[in-house]
Amino acid sequence: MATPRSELKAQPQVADLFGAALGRCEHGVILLNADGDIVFWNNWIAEASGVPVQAALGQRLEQVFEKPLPKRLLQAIDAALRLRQAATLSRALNPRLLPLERTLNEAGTGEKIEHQATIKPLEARGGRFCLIELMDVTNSVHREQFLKSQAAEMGDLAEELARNEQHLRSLLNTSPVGAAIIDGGGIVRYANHRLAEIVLGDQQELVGMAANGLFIEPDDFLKQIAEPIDTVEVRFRRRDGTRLWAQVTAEVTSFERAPAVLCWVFDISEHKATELALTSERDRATEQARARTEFLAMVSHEIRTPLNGIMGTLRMLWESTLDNQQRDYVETIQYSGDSLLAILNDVLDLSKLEAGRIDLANQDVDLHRLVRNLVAVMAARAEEKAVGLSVEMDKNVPRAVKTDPGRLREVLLNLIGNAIKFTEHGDIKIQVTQVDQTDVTVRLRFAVKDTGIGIAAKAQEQLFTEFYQVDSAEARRRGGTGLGLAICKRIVEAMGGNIGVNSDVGHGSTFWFGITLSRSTKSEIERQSARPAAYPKVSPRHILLVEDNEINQKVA
Amino acid sequence: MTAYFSVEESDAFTEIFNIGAGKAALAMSELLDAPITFTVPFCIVLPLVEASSYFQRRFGTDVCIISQDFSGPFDGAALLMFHEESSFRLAQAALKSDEPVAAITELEREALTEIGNIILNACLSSFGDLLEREVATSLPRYVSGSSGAVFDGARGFDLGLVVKVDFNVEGRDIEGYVTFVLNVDSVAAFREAASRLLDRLH
Repeated sequence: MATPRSELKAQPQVADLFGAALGRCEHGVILLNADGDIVFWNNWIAEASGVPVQAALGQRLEQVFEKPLPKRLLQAIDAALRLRQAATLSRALNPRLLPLERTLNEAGTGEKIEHQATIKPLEARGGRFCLIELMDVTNSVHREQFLKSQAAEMGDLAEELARNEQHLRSLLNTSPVGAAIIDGGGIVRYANHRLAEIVLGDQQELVGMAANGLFIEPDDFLKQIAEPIDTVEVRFRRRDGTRLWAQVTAEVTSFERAPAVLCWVFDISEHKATELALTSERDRATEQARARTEFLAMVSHEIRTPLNGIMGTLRMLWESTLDNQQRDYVETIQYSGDSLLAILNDVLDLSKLEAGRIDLANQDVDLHRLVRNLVAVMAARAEEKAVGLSVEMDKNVPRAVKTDPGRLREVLLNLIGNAIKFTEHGDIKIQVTQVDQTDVTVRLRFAVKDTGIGIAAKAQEQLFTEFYQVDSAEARRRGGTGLGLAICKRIVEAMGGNIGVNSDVGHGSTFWFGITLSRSTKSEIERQSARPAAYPKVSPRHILLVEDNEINQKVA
Repeated sequence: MTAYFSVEESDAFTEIFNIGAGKAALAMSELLDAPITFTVPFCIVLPLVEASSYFQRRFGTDVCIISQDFSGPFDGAALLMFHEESSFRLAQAALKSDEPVAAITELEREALTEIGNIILNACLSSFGDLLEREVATSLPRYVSGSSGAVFDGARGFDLGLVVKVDFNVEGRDIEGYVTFVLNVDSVAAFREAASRLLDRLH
């Protein structure tokens, strides 16, 4: 069947119209004669193989390619030529059929052409041929590779997700805080180790249980967890039936693509027990304090009654005929009795204040007159120590106000008394200023300014607490119970005001308090303003006090 | 069956197809670089209508068919049929994939078509050897779904020569059938060829 060489070279004869068309078609076409010699080699295969048409013609396929050709290809060609059998050679089973490449750019960078082949017998011009067609499937291969890599990436991602989930699960499980995931139907879908510990249950047993089996109070707890919960304290029931307090925080999440809540559960039973113990402890302490105060009030009252008897009798004794020495003794007794009475009054007063039993009067008062009277009362004591005592009344300060005159007087007396007590020379000024006002109220600031010894900053802090005295040695010298300022503080506070002190050691002190008073509608008081305030008589009590120092010196 | 072939004739054909199967297995082993054996336990001739309904019953709509036309001493078509499940396993083995194949995509389809091509060419060349004539073949076609359409397309033919082929690919057993769609004259030619062969053997 060998074809003469000259005829094989007769490409122009083959290259009629169909030959030209095949030569330009977009896949590879090779025609072999019965001997296996190449008689047609189109442009596509010439370009892809790098073997020009003229170089390929007349050669055998094995000679054209440097590498040995796959056995499957050679067998298929043989079967086509010898047995007239057709074959398909897929790239799936023949990934490297022929070394074909496409030039991508001028630098000559090549890309492998993935291809598949069909091999068909052909009978023409009385001879037998083998037609090889090569199809470019590079794009499908790339698409497949891309899909495969995507699938692999998805696989990796899924694996990583699974790992992360495992990690989170183990974190959640080993969390020191109880955790449960509860679905929309109120069923526990997940419970961690700690939660099982808290409720004395088995982790697996808890899953699938209705949350109501766990949460007992309040009954509508599950309704609440339809929304996130900041923090609530809930009573839990343990598996053994006992109860505990838990603090629950819930957030809305999803479990297996359905809405659910994740509950964090802190066992606060111990904390709660401590809290309860502390509360009852505090209640007991409060009760004890109240009882003590009541006792004090009662005792003071019981002592005062006979003391009043003594003092009354003493006054009668004083008015009877006594010689000088007897008179001297009575005076001493009277002074001591007065002191004792004052102390008792203070104690009783404080007790009342402490027990919250302070009833404030609300009377129409001429404030200017009240202050001037006070100053008049204290003037004698100031004079005795050669200390000046003056009033600076702001002209804005209304005369007619409503207040408890007794209590206001008590506070002012206390402050002025202290000022005199601790001032050896200089002046004591009482200043009353208006700091604020409305149509019906007025805010006043009362200040008692002395040029006394002053008070250290540290001592100022404790000045208004009961029984506190800056210097106990001083206190013994100057007298007093240490209750005065504490009483003042309580009264001012009961009046809705505040009290304080500004002082420097050696530069005197200013005790002040601010209270808001209602304006009085009594025009009568305002009219009195024209008249000068009458100075009251000096009270006997005042006289005794004034004489006190002399007697004290005598006794000492 | 006996209406067409005697037991001896059937045995002779089975023997011939086994030779062809052996060739195909060798070619496949080389191609896939894996141990592959094909064996033909029996062959049978049926009226085409019966063969068609037999395969429709057997495979329903889950069949995978690779078919080739042939021509030479007589014309006909050769069909290689697998149950879809078997085709998945064959594709997995051929593509050396670790993952089980769940669907036939382009790649699997191409691989199965080529495998069918190899097997059918081998069987048909055995025919040729038997008849001492060339049997030319066309390119293979791939069809899946129902075997009905394929048999409908073979109208004008009378008989089906059904050859059972058992594959063993890397230890996996896969069952397949090769059916030659023929007319009565072709079968007569086969019988003559078979008797000549039997004479030669005895």
